[in-house]
Amino acid sequence: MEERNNAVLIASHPNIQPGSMSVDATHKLAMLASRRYLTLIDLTEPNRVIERVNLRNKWDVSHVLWNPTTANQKYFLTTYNQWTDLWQYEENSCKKLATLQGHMRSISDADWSFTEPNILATCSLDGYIYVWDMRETKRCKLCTSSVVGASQVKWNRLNPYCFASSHDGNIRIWDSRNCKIAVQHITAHLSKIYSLDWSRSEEHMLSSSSQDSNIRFWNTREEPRSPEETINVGKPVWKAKYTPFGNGILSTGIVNFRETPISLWSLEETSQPVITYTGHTDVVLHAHWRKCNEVQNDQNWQLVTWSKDQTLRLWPMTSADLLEKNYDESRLSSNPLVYNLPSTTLPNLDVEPTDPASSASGSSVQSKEEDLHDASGFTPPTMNMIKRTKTNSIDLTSSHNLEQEFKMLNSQLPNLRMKHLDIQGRKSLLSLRTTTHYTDIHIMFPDAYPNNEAPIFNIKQSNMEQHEILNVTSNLQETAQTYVKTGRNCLEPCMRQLIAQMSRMSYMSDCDAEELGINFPSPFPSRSRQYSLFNDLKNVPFPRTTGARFNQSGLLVVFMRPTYVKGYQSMNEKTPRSFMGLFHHRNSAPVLSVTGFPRHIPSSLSHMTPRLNPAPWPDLSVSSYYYKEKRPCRKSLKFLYNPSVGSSPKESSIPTTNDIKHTRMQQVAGMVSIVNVTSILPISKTLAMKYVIPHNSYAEACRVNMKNASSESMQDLVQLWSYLSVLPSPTRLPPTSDKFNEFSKPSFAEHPTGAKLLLRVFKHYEKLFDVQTLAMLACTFVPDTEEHTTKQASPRKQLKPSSSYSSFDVFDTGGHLHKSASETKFSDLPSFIKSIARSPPTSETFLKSSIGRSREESPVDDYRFVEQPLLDIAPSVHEHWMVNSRLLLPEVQARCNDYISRYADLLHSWKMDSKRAETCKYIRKIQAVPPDTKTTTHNKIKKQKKTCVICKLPLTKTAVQCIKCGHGSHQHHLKTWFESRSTCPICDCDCFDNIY
Amino acid sequence: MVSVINTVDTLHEDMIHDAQMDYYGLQLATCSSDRTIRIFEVKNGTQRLLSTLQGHDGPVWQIAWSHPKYDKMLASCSYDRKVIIWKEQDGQWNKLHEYNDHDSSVNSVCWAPHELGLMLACGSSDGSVSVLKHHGDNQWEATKINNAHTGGCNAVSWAPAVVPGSLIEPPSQNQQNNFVKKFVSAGCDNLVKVWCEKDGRWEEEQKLQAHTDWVRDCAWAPSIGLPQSKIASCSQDRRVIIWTCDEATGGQWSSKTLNEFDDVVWHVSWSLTGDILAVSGGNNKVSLWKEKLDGDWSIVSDIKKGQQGSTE
Repeated sequence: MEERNNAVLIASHPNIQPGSMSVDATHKLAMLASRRYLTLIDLTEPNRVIERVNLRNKWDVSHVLWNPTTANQKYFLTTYNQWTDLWQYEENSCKKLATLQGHMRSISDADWSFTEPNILATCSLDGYIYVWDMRETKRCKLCTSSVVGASQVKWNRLNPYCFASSHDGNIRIWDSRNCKIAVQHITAHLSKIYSLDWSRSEEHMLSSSSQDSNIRFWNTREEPRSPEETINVGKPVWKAKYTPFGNGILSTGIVNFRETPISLWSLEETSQPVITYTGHTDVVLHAHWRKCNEVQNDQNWQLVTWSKDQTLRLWPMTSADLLEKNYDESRLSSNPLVYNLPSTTLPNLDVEPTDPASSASGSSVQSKEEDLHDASGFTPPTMNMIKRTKTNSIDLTSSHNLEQEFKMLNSQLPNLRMKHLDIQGRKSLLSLRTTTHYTDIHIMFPDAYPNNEAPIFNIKQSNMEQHEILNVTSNLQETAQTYVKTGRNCLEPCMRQLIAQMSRMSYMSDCDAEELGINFPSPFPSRSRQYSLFNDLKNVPFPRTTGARFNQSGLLVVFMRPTYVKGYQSMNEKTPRSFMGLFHHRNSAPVLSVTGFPRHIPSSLSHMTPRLNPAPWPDLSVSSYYYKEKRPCRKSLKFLYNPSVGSSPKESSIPTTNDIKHTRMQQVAGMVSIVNVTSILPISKTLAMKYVIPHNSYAEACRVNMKNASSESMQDLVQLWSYLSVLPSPTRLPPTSDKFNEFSKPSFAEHPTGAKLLLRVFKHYEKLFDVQTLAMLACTFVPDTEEHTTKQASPRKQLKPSSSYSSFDVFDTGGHLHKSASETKFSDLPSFIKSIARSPPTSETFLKSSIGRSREESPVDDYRFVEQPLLDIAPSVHEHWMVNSRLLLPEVQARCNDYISRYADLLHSWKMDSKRAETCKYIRKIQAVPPDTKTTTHNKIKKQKKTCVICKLPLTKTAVQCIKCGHGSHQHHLKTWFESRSTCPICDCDCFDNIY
Repeated sequence: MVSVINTVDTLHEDMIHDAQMDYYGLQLATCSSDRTIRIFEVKNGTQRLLSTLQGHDGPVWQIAWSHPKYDKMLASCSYDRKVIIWKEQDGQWNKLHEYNDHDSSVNSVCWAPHELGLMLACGSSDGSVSVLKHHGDNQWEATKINNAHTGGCNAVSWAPAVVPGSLIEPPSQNQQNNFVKKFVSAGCDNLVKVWCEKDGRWEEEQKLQAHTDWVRDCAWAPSIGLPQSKIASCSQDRRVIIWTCDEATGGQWSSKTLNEFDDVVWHVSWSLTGDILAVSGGNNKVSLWKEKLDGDWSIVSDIKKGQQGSTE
């Protein structure tokens, strides 16, 4: 193997805010972007800054990207918020060329075409992907749109027309020649996709990496239903990129120092990474494979990484050769190489290198190890730390781990101070401090830590109450356990948790918000499936705290926040849509730089919310979004329950459990009101109770209903029933032969105030959604089934003669009407009525004057028109008498059953079961049921045994059934039923005599 | 005009997320962030705590009473990804079934109309909708619609049971029990989707697109027998949209914006006759809307903070 430059270099740039990085096509220049500046670094001298450009704007630069084509290699783009800037780097200076404007929301990704030097694409959360031409910067060349905003856009490396975009967990493949719709949709991941990458060698291969811990490979030649391959990394994957050499993929994780941030995978053997690179202490923002230009050897590539820990690292050369060979021998894949680079500032530790078994590994590995050591002249003194070991062994000497862990603690948690640290003795004393609380905590680390051995926490000195200390310690142990179970370090999460808890205590005493202490269980109930907190929070909608629910019986349940519980949002701000909003709200510090979610928090609030760091699980409740207004009465309330308060402010911050409980329920959970809205509903419970179905004594029943309506002051219903009461009874038999001449007379139904008016009435009440009136009308006018009319005059019809409205003669009825009309002022208008009667269309105008008005408006007087005589009506056709005499037009009749059954449901929910059964009688089967015979009776009983005919509930208690019709019911229902009636609740069977 | 007949102090230790009356208006169930469900008997202005149901490990988002035909059952869903079906027997509430197959918070549960049998739809933040069907003997068959809504499903609501075509022309005898199974769902993809069961499989029948942000709730209006379907949906975009579809005119859905509110709208609920819509949202207000004869919507009542009914 020829001489290789195995420089392992750590260039620390504490002045550069972590952001995006891009390496140009020459593999020499790296551009680092941050809030204010663009920093250009020569990768051959990574510690030196060549050029620094002040951007002079307030936005973070989210992406910087060099043009990858050699033709345009001097150009690069930067994106910030909704804009994209194009730059030129020439003669050691950067020049801004143009700004591309178009997006409505912040840009989530941008990509240069690999084949067309002037083409680039940008995508944004606004749902649009724009394709731009560098030479035409005024407007975009193409535009695609989708509902869900795109988070990634990537050009195919080989096909100039093809690009892919990711939308949450889905991928769309686009063709730039036809951008209207995506060529393909791939449902790729269950959670958000963080990166896409096209293969460098195969046109149709696409990789995607996601929050769901998987890297998936798709063949887009055909619509892919399932991935070609999946690598489960075990933790969310931030970026997965094809290697420019061999058949490999490089993944970077999203998580912090505890995990291995960068792994190189072979696509032939995906069970384990080939190489893992550890050393970065924070999220790796960008990783790039760079060709060392001095050595024009295709086989050698160097990995350049830029991390949030503000170090730029150049890793040992990787030879594609080596990679391939390793796959063949599959030795390294089972025994991965680990380059462990401690951070520069760590003191050197005496570390015994590795297990002896590994020295037996292949020569190439051996040589590599030597190379690494040889390179020490070039690298910082810590180079002797580099060692090779198995990732899964504890060999990464635990003391070193401990050291590193503590190092991390110091830098990440500002309110923590290390009082004493004894690495060899494996113990430490830490001091934590929040605004109001302080504590000293002693931690002992067992030898096996972090492998299933949790450290022992011991709170030495604190101003917390005893019960709080107990609580805090048990929480710490619990959290520690969950971490060490999987061999992870737990110090940092534990300390974060402790600080969070202490801050909350401070917060409580600050603003009396005890309820903030109500948390979700932490850690969350253990589930085998691992889902990220962020994903969960992002997708879960913000909890409702106000609501109104109707129930079946017309009651409305209303729950609200108490008036003194206010939202934190300012006037023009909406309530956040997802739980994430709440999370951001609690953690004003940026949580993740991955998502495009609004991170800002009203500045006025920052003093109210403690800056809590993200806990391993949501340590929050929706009530923390709201705060209570300070009210004077609250003080007195508190006084009432905890009289000892008042003198010492410190005491008041720790209320007794009772106090907490009481104030909480007083303050957070509002009252639930049950509201009666029946007055604005079209239906009325009282009317339902009083209503009589007009059948037996038609007109009388109508008048009874009229009175009922007037007692409920339902004016329009009064009018309706008065109209109905003057109609001839709808239950009429066809004229018998001896009254033959009646056929020649027009039926009432044909009159404008007959069937047509009735239709209008129905239409009117349909518009009002008055199912009650509709059902009553339906019951009144629904024709009897054929059998009923022909077979016999049913028992109730025998009662009919008692009614003076039983006459079949239209004119008789009319005459009667006339009489009743004289009671009103009808006689004043005979000529007017005549004209209406002569011209049927006017029935419409007539209606408008009466029924068409709204319930409250129309005066009773209008209804006198109804009582017009039926005078000059053209003779109707003889044969159609039957049809024409129908008052109910078929189009309405079809719906009658529905009206009645809905009303019956309503009556049931009001527990008016007898009324309900009575109403249900009028539901007409469309096809006649064959008449009962003796033989079928028993089957019928069996069949109908199940439900009560009155309440429709299963017959479980004492039940009674009719031997003839088979209808059965609960005894107590039947008792009340037969008190006033003698026929079956369902049919006309005289059940009263047949019950057994 | 609108009167409060009862105020219930729920004694929940955290915010309440849902409250529902049972079919007869006799019992009230509430659920809260304190992970419990409480059941009260409400009578003549008084309340009595009957039971506190514990079993969820996270905030309980929504509850639903079953139709009394199927005994007293209550379904609840929670952030802990579980759906629990509770059953009352001799005054004791017990867990009858626990459904665990969602990968994220379950945001909505809704019982199907009783005519369709005992069936429950659940919408989850993992984007899927599950339909649980009871087969007697506590056997529950789950059908899952994966990827119903990208980003998560926020609400589900069943359509009233109707026999196909029955509202236009009379159904024939053999159609009697052949109800159409339909429900509507709302999600984070800004869509409202109508699902219909065909040959035992759930198919997307309609995609209703008009909202510009997450759709938080949807509600299918109860039918009184008219040949018209009506859906209300509300969204993070602060709008409430009424979707209507006339069976007679070929099943095209048309949308109408009810109103644009000053904060996000969380919840819509239809009155039993389908003419009044209760709307509530982030501004802590509840308003009742009524459809006028000309088809426009007007506010009929505003239930203000402090929970007093007021007239307008």
